[in-house]
Amino acid sequence: MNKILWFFLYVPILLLPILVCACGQSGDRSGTEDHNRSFIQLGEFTLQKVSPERIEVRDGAGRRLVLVPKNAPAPGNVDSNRLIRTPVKRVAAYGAFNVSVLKALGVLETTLVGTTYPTEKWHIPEVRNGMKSGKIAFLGSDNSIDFERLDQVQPDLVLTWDRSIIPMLNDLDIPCVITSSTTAMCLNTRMRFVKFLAPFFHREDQARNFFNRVNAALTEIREQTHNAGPPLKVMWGDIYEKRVLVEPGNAWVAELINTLQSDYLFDDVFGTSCIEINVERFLYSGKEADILFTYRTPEQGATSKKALARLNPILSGIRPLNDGKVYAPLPHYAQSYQRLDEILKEIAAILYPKFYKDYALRYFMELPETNPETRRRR
Amino acid sequence: MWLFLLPGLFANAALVFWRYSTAWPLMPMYLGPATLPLCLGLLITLNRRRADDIRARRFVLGLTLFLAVAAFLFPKDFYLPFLKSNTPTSHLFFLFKTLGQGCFLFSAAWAWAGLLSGKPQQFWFRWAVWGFAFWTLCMFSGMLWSYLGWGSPVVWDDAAITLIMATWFFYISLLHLHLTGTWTAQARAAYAASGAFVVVTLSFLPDLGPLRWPF
Amino acid sequence: MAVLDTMPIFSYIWKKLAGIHLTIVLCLLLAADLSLGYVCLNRNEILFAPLNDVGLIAWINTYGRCNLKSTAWLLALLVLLTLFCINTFVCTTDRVARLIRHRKKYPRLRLLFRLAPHLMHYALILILTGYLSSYTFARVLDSRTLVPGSSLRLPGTEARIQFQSFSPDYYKGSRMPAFDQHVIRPRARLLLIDGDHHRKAELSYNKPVIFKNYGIFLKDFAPKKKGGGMNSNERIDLTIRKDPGVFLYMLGMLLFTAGIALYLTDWMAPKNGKRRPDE
Repeated sequence: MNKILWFFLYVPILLLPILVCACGQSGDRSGTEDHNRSFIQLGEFTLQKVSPERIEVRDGAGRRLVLVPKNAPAPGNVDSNRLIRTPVKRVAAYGAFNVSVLKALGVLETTLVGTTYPTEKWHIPEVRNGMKSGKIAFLGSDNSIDFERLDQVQPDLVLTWDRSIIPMLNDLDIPCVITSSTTAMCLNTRMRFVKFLAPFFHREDQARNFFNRVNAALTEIREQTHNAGPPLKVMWGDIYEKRVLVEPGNAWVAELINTLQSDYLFDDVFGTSCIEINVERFLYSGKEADILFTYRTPEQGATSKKALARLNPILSGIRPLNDGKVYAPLPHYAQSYQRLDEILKEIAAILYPKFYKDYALRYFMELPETNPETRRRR
Repeated sequence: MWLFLLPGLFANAALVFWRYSTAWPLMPMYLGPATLPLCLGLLITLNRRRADDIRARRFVLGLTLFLAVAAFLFPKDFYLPFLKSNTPTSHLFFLFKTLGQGCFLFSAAWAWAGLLSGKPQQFWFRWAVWGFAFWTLCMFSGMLWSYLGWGSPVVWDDAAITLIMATWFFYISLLHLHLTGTWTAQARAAYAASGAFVVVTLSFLPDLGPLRWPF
Repeated sequence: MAVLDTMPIFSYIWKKLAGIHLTIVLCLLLAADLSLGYVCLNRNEILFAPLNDVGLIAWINTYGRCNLKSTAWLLALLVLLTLFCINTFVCTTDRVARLIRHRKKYPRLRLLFRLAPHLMHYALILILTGYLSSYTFARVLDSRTLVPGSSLRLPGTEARIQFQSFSPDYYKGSRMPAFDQHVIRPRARLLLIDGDHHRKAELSYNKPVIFKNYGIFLKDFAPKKKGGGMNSNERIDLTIRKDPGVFLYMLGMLLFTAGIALYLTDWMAPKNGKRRPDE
């Protein structure tokens, strides 16, 4: 066999490990120069600037939508329910996340006309006030929207995670954007998601400022927790009846925990947010975890470790409920995307209290061993 | 040898049967690492024709033990089965993949034994051909499943598809080397023996999870 | 072949392209590139998944170009596969031509067996061509959602698909507690309307419906659980594709399988009462 063949045979094989290391898991990680690019990818969401007057977006359901300024002529080849005139003036939004993104963009007060939570469930003052004054309508709960009411408020756009409303919205000729995705958002996508909705409202500058603020907070936290000592072992999830749901290793919280030199115990799990795994895997990590972040809020029963164990007896054996710590999100946590920098800092403060002395938790609460009432009775 | 192999085989078969019947009619995710040692054990039990070749048998037994221990300590079986695996093509995909891996590793064992004896025979080629046939059927059943389930020829959700194709190309070159007699018998046997490393690296290790100490 | 004989330069190129060494080098490069692809693709699927919807050219211009570090392997793969196809075609055509020239030497069955490897080679080219045309020419309607009673029109036709009802099978066993009361097989009843012609069809996972040359595939559905849960409203998400590559790669797959079967039959059959020497 000639020497050239030997060369061609073995060089690729020898080079393979080097190439593998060099390539690694790259990806579009830089977020600072998005405004100069014609194509921006934010997880499963994309923005493509086709021309100064046309932006094509791909939402969480993989649907292509076209953004065109209000005064520009309508493109011919686009369905009316896929065409969005910008800046959008009236928005109906499902859930808390979409509303808090509007707040991050600074358009909540001027654009929000309908939501799916009643007034008492809101912790954002602008929404509460708007609902009280009748400016923002309650459209019915997530699963039973009052479409007549929705039609009455005449939104230019609906932000939702529920795909089942798409056919009805098509009939009403109201475009919608699916803002949830099948794969959990990584930290970078979470921080930059605001840039996806920014062109809908011509608020690119606000989105950039928001990202820079969160990025600066993350950099500061990283510096502060550098050389933090032995890593803490953290798990994020809960058991509901017979189903075990956790945040996978590709979720932003997992990435944040790992970035802060801690050890996220479901790092090997990959997939959608709140992914379901088997109970054995959960309990295995539960044996060594120092901290558990539960999905349940105190209103959903996470008032103490005892209460949590009572809800799920299977949980009672895991370490955080006995020797470790358990944190529950407070009800306004899910409505606080606009304060993502503070949330990141709070998670860092939970993981490393020695670096954040006298820090008062605002988005999470540490669960006591027992409920205060029980303690008092004793 | 049988004293250890047979109980081990029964235990392995029971585990695979239990996991499969639990998930049925869905396909259990990441059961491959636990099934491959069973496949190798069955092949070595059933393949008595060359029972005299002690080197190859040692190689296969050692490999079976290594794979079984790895599957035991590094399970990745915590995902729930997914609904799109409720189809015969997914089960065929799993079956052919395991058979293909088993045949490739057998081929490597005979090639290794031939190299050690200094007189490489061509017995490894038979297993390589069977491995290639099963591997191809595994790819085709995956392709069919991909079309029926997703409508596209490739499903990019699972990165392991690239490794299946990489293994296939590795063995295409081996078969071409052999059929055209391009290299010496020794060199071809060495190439075939390296198939063990390729198969374990490209189609066994990616199915393993992190260490879970069972005790 | 005669043309090649008369023009030495073409003959030289043809010979080089038909070389077995090239095949081996290409196979190893492909194996290396695909292994690298695993590293780039693993946990980065969201970069590659849109390839199935937007098509190859649009994907290269957007996702591919903007993430070159992660996608270069795929671009290299395309080049290598093209070379591999050319090499396979030239090599096998050379040998088939030789076989046909000497066809009288072989009995008919023997000739068929000798053609088996070449059948596999041509089938592989067919499969890869099918893939390429699928990723280049397929018309894909991005995710479409239907609720009971709603319908959608297939583009370029007057044909409509109406979602009539959802009647899934639920998990009945007790072996998987997490699946208790959950859908094990979704079944959506569709009405396919083409003018006055109506046809009923059942759509499920792995059970697409073909209508007016469009493949209709169930992508997702709700509710997943008896009684609802968070997504309690009935809906089906569809992927609708008009894919000219399907026929090619399915045919290729069939021919390749036939080629393997022929090859194994020939190989396993005793030759003059003896087994093959390579055993």
